[in-house]
Amino acid sequence: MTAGIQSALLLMVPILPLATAGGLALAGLFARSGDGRLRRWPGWVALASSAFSLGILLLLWGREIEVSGEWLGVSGLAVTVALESTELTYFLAVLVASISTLVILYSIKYMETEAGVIRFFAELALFVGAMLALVLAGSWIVLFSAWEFVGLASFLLIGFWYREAASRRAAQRAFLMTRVADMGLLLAWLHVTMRLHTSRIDAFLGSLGTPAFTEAELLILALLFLLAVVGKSAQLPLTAWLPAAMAGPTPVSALIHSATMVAAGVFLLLRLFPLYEASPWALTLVLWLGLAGAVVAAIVATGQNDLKRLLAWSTISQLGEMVFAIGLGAPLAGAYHLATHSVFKSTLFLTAGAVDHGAGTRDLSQLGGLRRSMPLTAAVFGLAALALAGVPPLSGFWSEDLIVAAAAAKHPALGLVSVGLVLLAGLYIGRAGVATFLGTRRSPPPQEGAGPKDPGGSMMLAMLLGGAAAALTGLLLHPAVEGLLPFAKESGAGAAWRIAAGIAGLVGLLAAWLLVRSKGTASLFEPLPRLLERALEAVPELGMRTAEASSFPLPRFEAALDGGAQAARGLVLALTGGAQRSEAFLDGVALAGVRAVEGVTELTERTESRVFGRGGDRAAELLSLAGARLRPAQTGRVYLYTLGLFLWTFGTAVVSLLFWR
Amino acid sequence: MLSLVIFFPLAAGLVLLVLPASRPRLVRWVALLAAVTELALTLVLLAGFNANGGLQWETDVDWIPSLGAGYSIGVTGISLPLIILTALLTAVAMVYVLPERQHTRGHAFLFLLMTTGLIGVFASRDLLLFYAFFEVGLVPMYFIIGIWGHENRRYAAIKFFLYTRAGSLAMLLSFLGLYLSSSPRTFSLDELAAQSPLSGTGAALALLGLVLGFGVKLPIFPLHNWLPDAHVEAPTEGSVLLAGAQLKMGAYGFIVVVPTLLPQATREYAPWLLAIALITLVYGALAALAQSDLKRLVAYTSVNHMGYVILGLAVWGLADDGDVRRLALNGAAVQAVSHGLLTGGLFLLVGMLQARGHTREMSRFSGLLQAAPRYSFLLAALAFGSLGLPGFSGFVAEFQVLGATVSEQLWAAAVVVLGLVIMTALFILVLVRIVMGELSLPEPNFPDLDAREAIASVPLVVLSLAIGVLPFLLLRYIDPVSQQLSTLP
Repeated sequence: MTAGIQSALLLMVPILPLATAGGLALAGLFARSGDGRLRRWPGWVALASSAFSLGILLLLWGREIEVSGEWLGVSGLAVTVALESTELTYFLAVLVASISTLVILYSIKYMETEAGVIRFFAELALFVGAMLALVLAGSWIVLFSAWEFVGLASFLLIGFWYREAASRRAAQRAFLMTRVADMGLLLAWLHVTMRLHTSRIDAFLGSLGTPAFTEAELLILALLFLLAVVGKSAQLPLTAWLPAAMAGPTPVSALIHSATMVAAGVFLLLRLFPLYEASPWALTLVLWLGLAGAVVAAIVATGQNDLKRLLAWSTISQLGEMVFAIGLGAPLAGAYHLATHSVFKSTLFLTAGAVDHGAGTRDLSQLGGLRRSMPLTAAVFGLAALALAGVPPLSGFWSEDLIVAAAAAKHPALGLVSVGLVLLAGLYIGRAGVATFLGTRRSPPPQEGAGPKDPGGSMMLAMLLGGAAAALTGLLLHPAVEGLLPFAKESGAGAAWRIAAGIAGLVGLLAAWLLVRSKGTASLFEPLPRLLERALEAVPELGMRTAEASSFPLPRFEAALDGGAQAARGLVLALTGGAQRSEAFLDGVALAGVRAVEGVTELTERTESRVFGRGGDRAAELLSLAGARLRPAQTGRVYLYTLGLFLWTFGTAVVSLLFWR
Repeated sequence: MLSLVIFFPLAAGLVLLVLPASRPRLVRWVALLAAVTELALTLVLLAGFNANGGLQWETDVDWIPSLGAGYSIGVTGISLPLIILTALLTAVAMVYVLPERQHTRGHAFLFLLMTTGLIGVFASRDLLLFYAFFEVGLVPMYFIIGIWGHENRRYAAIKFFLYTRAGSLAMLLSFLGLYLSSSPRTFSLDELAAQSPLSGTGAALALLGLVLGFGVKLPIFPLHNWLPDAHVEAPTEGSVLLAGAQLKMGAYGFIVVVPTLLPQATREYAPWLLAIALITLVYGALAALAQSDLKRLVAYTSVNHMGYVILGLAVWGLADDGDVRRLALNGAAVQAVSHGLLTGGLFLLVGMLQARGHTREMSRFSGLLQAAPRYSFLLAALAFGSLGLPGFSGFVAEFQVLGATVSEQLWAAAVVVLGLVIMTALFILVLVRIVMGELSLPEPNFPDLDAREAIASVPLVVLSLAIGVLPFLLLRYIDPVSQQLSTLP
């Protein structure tokens, strides 16, 4: 394979889904709605584009490829568009393409009865393309653009059911909260690009050993990037958008809000790990931020009754664990966990969607006993849940093991906390599973219909594939994954920690089983989960309130400015009015003058005619003539009068134009 | 050729005036033909333009020799895009008003007269000529608002008149100051730049005059207050040209005239300009967030968007690195073009909404996606473009200005992105409220975009996308001028 073909193929990876999205969007704008034949093909088209991207990626296995071109070459600044397929980026691209293909496959069946399927698959394809561009990005401009576009796709898909108030609110909140955080990324990459005169990411990573940046600058950069990570990966304190995002269709939750987009933050940390190594303060912050997020979100998850919201909080907790692992200086553990988590969590979401469709609700307090009517769904859920709880030899075990080991190596207390996290994970996912599938149904199923049953077609196929992957990825890919990733391999955990980590999840599951049997779906640690959840909900509220409060006085200020303009206008009108009035006054004076002269003339003439008799008297004629001559002069000085006339005409013209309809 | 481009609209307008008033349809189509011809003429300018060739299409003849004022015109890489933008928006406006039947002759004449004035401003190389065209560009808008505007048009027209006249007076005084202190006395932009006759307090006062003059038009805080009223009361096509082309006179002044005439004073007072820019950016965004009238909301977002222009000038003044200064001016110039496309498009769409629903209140519209999917798609595209989504021209402009700002003052850039976040919030709010939600409209009959509306608005979106994806298309013209301006002391 020549270099040219390789580059072209790599470019195709994100471009195929993006082009598909564009085509579908146009088709959607001009297609007649309600056409039965249009039901399925958008899904198949989207599936094909995603599968092709995956196929191309697999074709490029084991090759290091770079494509770059100048996008904007002005001002001594080379802004390049670059994609690169190196160890980390290739690994994540394959992960993204696989899960996307799986979820699109699932969606074809899941969305078949919804209106607006073309829009749905157009938006989904947009997301897939943008996400692939994000992980393959070799330059900041591509990374940032893709970063913004996954946010856009997330907004559109959360708001897919745009008529519902909850969807709208959730979409708005998600876009705003992540956009606030994106500003950190924007400022940071602009700073780096301006300093190094190139937008290549590897140029930045390569400059870290050199004195290109001061230590303080590196810290600021690390914190700015961290802000973006916190937003996209829903870490403390910007968590509130992710549980709300569950208002979107379930395939969207499975793909975007558990497996891929929310992992983009962790991916960025991995990509920029050398920066954090060079800035120990920031790395410490990463550690504590991740740990706090993991613990808080796990506690909140134990109190959730909505199956999807529970999974969302679990996602935040798991992402927190990855951030924590990176903070510990163990990026391999973080990356590995990112991969296994993507697989088992998206599978959990897929089964949650099946439960939602089958049983008509996802409220734990109304579910129960579904293992009899939905056995396959229950089995897949069980596998993925055991993987989440880190039960050996399922996928989660392998990565959790690495995290526990890294934590214990740092400090035994941290090791204990991370074992505690595994236990909590077992507890909340066990509570969800037991409440959903075991026991008996707590509320009567809806009358009509044949009752809950396993989904068929593409949904079931996708779930089975997901379940198998959740079980096996850890075991099968363990050596491959470790070899694939560029990070140094950490030493495995001591035997004691390994056993503790393996058992903790089982203990959690067992406890959950006992608790649900005795207490039903009542929350365990109340009121702590509720309080924490409410506190985190307050964050976006506070932000919106602040913005509104600061914009609130502005109309009043504008009105004050308006007052100034009004006054100026009044002044102008008063001046023109005054001019008009003075003109009228002058007119009056002039008129009086004329009258007076005329009066005098008349009087004179009368006197004359009385004294000298009518006509023939030259003196009277002369006087009369003088009076007539005087008349124009007396009517005010001629030039003033002319000027007044001109002003008045002009003013009348302006005013009449103004008020002319 | 350039003179033809400048005066063709005026000539066409005069021809229109002798057409029979009883045939408004004919008048409309002739006006459209004139506008499209003018657009084609500007494209001829583009075709014959060499991006690295400096000033081109020059004409220089004596006009008032005793004053040292010449009829001196020419096109640079920054004025050319603005000339094309003006012609394009005039054509868009003429397409949009095709079905309007009220006072067609006067309406078309005023728009064409304004086009002559605007293009003349961007082509002038002589300050007196610049001033004359500036006035020709402004005055028609006063009548357009006053005659074809909405309910409160008289007030808005007088306010527009007072603000802009005061502004252009301040500008004229600065020009006169420069003229009187030059020797030999001249109004020529290039000669004045070479002489740089003013320094110290004189230069500061001249700068103040120019900032007031261009600042009213841009607008900057606190000289912006005329803008929301003018936009809200102006007819849709008037708003399109007001935002799309007229504000660009202010932008052009800040990007080209101020740095050329008063480079040192600009550097000296750059911190003040930075402060004005930051306040304008955040204030415009916040004020827009507080609006419920869609047209007023879009008008205030203009304040935020044009803030990037003065920010670009401020950073140009602050920075010592030539590349940074160049980037700042590049971004400001791209923003001028981008804002014309995006905000022009937004005003068109809001106008369509008003034409259908007879109200501009945001709360009266909901669920447009069901009634008018194509309209909604276009609105969403323009909204995301306006909030700085990569792929649209606005991002190309903003990331350049912001990049230049970051390398000078990181904290100032943080203030700018605060404005960007607020802009995001308000555009998302608009989409969530009127595009999403249950269908609820003030009028039951709510057709989707028709062909005329699509022809008027789609090219604006497409051009914005083209610049956003391939910014070099535009920057190859702008960059050489910015580079040259960045070598000034």
